[in-house]
Amino acid sequence: MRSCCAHFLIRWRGRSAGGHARAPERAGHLILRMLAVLLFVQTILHADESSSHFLWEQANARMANAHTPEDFLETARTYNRLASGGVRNGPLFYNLGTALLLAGDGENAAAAFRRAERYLGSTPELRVNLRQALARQLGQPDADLPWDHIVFFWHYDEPLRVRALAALCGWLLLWLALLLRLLTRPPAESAVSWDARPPFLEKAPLVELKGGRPREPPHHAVLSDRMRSLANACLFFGMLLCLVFTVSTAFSWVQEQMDDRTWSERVFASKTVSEQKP
Amino acid sequence: MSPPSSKDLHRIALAALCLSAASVARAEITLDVQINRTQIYLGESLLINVTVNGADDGLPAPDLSALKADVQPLGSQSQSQHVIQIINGHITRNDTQSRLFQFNVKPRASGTFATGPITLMINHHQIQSSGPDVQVTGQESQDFVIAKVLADRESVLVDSPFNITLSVAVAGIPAPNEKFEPIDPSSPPRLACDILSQAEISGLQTPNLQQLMQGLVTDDPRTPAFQINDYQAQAPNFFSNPFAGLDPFHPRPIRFRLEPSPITLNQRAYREYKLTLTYTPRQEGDYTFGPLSFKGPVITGATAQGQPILRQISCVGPAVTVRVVPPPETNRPDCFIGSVGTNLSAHAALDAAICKVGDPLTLTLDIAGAISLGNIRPPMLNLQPNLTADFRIYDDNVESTAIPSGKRFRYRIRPIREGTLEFPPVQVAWYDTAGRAYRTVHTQPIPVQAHANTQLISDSTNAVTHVTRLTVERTTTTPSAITVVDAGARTEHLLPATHTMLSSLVAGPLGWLIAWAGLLFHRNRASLSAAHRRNRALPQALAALRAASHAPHPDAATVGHVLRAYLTARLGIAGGSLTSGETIALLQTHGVPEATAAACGALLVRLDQSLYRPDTRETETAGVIREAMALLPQIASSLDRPLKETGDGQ
Repeated sequence: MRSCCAHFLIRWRGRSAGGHARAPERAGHLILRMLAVLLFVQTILHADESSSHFLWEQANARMANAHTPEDFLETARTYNRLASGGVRNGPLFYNLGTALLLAGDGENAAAAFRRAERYLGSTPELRVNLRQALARQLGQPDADLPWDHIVFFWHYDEPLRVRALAALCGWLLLWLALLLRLLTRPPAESAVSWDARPPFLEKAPLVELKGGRPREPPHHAVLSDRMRSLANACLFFGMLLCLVFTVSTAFSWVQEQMDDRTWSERVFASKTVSEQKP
Repeated sequence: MSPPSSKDLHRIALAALCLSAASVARAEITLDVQINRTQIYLGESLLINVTVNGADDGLPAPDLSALKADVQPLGSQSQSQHVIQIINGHITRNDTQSRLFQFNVKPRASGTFATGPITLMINHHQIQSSGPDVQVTGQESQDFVIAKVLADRESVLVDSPFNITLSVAVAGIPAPNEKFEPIDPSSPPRLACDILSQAEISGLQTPNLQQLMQGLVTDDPRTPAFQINDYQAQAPNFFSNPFAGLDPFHPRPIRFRLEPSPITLNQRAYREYKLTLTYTPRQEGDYTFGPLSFKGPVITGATAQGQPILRQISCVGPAVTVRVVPPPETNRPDCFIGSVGTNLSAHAALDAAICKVGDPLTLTLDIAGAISLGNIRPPMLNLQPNLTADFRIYDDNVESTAIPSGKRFRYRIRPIREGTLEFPPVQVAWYDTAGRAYRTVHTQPIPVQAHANTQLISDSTNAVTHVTRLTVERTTTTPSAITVVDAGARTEHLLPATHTMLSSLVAGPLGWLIAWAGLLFHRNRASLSAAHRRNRALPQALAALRAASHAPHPDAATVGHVLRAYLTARLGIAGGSLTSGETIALLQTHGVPEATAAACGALLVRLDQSLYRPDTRETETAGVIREAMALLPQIASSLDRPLKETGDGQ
């Protein structure tokens, strides 16, 4: 395609350099040719999309008709052709993992399910299949999910996209809190400005007896104190949210990049495992 | 002849492969030919149903040109079926493609009629098939009696009533006896038609034959009448014929009176005897009515003595077929349930509002209204994508029960996610016979709360129940089914869009910086304003003095005001009414040399005095302005000097 485009551009430049057409005609030709190029590129992209869709349908049909581990392995290879072609999404890796699981390849199935988890989060179906993939890997009839799935639940329960958005929300909350702190005076300053209470009245309510009559603090001072407290709370939660989800996002992203690079080196194999009785 | 080369062998192998592939492709598509009657009279027609199995859309019509008959195509309809089965987590989808073509065929000759060969051309391949043979019986050609079976419509929808008319036209007696009916009352002819004896026909709501036939019975022996089928009376009517009823056990045919009406056929006068029956179809299908046979004497004339001339006639009226067809295929929604009518309502309910993930729930779907119930089928819920997002639906095993004016379908479903879910509205489509269009109704969404599935495992070794593990999704040991959503073929971005991330990353610090700058400016606005005034004081004062000097009559008051405004702006004091003494003191305080300060004070004094001296000349004021224009830069440089010196010192 690149050579075609380059050839086309060279031809166009050569003709425009040597031509004596008037400027409006040249502009019209330019627009027409750009439209032609766009149409060509769009056609190719559409063809690529149709091809992916066909492969996806084909793999699903094979999956529906598969009965033996060899059938499932062949289905997994069909799914993997989509992945090799650059398609990345949760349903694809989930189906790939399921096909590998039914083919008996627990290790690669678990890897596919982990990739699916990054796109879909931990859905009930994914948890069930991942557990069985791990069990098959260990040669046991059943297995638990790893402990980190329970401890770092936020890391596995939500898709990577949601976690990244949560980190961004934390980041924005953090700066919003800083902004709020900037716009409000510190509590000490605001307190001094309206009342210099003695230390033993520090915990007392914001109403003080003076000359036998209760005197309430100024409204702006109370509002300022509350805004300051809110800002501090937002700052804390924003930092926490940003830190936790940034680390989680970065970790998953690095894992996905590593998986993406090494995925083509994986060899799918059908392994018939004799079930162990407990 | 040289042995074939390897290239030739490749070509031969390729050709063989193509041929075998073509034969396989042909083998997938078959023709199935069915007929609705195996014996007909000449002039009657039969229906041939040709079903093409293995293909549906874009099929050409089968070719019936080889038949020795008049062929009339009646159209086609899809009979494809989609079945989705979920067994042990495996989703199996079976798509059966077929299309039914219908033809109305009228053989041209009597004898054995072969319903074949029927051919179909697909992808340059010819597929042939034949149906069973049909016996066509010929009949005598005459025009004294014309029997017909007529239908007011050839094809109808379910629940749309239609009329079948049995008609016997008998040629009238020539003049001068044309006023008499051509039927001899003493020897009534016999009419035979199956539908007059069938009180029930499967799929049709038939008229009340007993009541209808009872109304036609006549006891008057002088009235021209007919015998119909084998309707016979056991009890003799002694008064109508006292000599014929001596044997009480001998059954006698019942006489039915059909009122005649004069008509003209082929420019000849006839008396037509008609009987109309109304049927209402309840199920789709092909329904054949007839044939109607007439056998017996008719009066063709009269002798000179007035005696009737009788002629035995035997003729057959061809049968008609009414097709009860489904609604049109165009614009037919996927959720069409096969029912037609004028009104439909749907209601869905679940047997539980709170459950666990994977628990089986029963979805009850009630469909009722003024609709046909015979053809109603349970909606395929798996074909509605929004229903399968959160639920797995087992619609291959649906219970069906009758309810007043409708049907109730029970589905088994399972929530596949935890959380507060909503079972989406179920779409049900039907064909509105009044509006001649498909209508779709929706049920209300149903909220369901699905909790995570938990299992408590007890430690049985010490006989004390301990909650040792709380695990999720432990109830099933078979892998969950795959998903077939279209999104699986498209690339999904792992992270949010780059511009979203960048804008979110930049927005926070940028907002904070803008707020900080605004706050800084707000806090220092007084000093900034003073500095601005100080810097602008000298140019403004010089400009004002210059304008005053160019005026035709220089005003001392204006000049004094300009000088005082300069001094207040430059020295940063409020008010504009400085006296000479105050001015000298202030200038000296700010480091202006004594001589310059005194000169400024003197200028102010002269300006003040000139206000009260009417004899002040304009040239004197102009001189003051010149002096002020020279003095002000000196004052400005003296006031700036300490700052510069301080700056140099630092």
